[in-house]
Amino acid sequence: MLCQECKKRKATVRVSEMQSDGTHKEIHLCEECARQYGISLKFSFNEVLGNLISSQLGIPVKDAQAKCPNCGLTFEEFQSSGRLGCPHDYETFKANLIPMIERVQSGLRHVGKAPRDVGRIYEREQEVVRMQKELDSAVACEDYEKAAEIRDRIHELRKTARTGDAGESPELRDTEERP
Amino acid sequence: MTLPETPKGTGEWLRGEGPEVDIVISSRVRLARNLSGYRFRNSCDREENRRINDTVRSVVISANLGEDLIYYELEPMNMIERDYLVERHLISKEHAEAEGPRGVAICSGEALSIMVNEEDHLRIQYLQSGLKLSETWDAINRVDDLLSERLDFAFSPTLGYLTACPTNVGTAMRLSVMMHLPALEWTKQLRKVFKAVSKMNLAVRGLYGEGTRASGDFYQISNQVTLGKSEGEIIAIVDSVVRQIVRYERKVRQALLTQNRPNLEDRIWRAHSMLKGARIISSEETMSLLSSLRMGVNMGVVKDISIKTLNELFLETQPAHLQKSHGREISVRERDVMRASLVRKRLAEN
Repeated sequence: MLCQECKKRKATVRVSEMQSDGTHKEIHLCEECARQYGISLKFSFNEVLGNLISSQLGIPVKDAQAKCPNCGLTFEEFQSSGRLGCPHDYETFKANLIPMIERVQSGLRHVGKAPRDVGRIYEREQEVVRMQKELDSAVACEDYEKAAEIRDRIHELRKTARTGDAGESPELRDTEERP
Repeated sequence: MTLPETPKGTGEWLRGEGPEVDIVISSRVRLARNLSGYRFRNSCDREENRRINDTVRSVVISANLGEDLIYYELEPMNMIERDYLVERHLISKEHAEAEGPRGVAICSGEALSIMVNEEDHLRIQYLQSGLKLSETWDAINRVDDLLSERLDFAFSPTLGYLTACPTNVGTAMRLSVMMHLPALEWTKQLRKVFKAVSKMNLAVRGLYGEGTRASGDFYQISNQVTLGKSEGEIIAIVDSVVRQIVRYERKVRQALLTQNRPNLEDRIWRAHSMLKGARIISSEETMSLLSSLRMGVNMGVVKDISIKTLNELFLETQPAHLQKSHGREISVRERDVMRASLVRKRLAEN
């Protein structure tokens, strides 16, 4: 049997790789390819993700054409790139993403660090998405006056996000000590 | 902006000090963060990417992260300069090769670097010498706190930090411990190690991270899980797996010394003579010989060379480092001659 990786040398090593869904996949490799096996791009976690989502995980995709109201990405586009378009995609594609995340992660609930202002950040993000939907329907109805108004409001709302020009707070000056 | 004169020596993380440093070269923690209210980098047009880059740059510069902080714009740089930063592990290959407004802030003796507009708006990394995951986490956590005083990061109460790739969601934290495992490689034990490592849901990668080949017997061990476990839990898992691999590598080294000393010494001293005598040498061969020599020094077989010198050589013999120090593009053949001469000179100084 020839090595499944280089397809030139004789396969002498059998590698059993555990898939994210718990099943095992066997691969026959030559010694040289086997040595690189553990670090080869072809088997890297992120790279195979695109394939995992639909095929290997066997999760049926629902409504692959649905578009995110905030960034315009469809789930189909995500499947080919493996990259989401905006934070709201996690909400838009929830039905498709959550089963996939569940299989590759160790749970569905974040238990780590959170930013101090988490509530405020989250609410504003939701508000931007809500207004983006309004904007889309205004454009669809050709109500450009209203659309312009909403666009300005979104712009204003984004401005309330801290982007570094809010001035230096006193406690920041006390934290100059760096490791 | 072009890079200042080539710094002498290496970044802090290659100075060859710290716990288990004979086997663990460095500990790295990387956090992915995205600005709330913006789309992810790939969906942004040039103007949005420029705005994100400008915003983050001004925050990073004013956030008291370190006195030596410098922000480099990557767009105006030539490929040698970008590769130079990749070789120093300050930016990723993807970041070097991408397009559009993007940059990197570097400080604390190259321990801290913040890539802006990589796959995520911010990729903060902290790199230290030896096995020091908890300390490195503490350091990067402070940086993250300072930045989040001035920037709102995209965050969901259930899913945690939201990232462009769903495999990073949650803590958005990736640990990478770079290990030097020549004895396990020689004795063909690595496959066993990799198998055990993947059972623990960890990944093994090459010297320059994802998708790169192992070079000079260097391997990076990283976590894959980012959601459902806290930063502390993830650190504890990686730390314990790395410690087991360290013990294994040490045991095999000891076995080689007692059971196979002539072969071991032959390999080390041949590497020593080749490096001292070669007139033309490729990057790959250099890495492999330096690797044998490094093990020889750590095992007390070779006594007249310091680990610091070897660490410096690992870096200075890389293609972009050679070209940068000569201020121009150099052909592969010319580089191989230059590399051999650099190695001979540095080893003779010892």
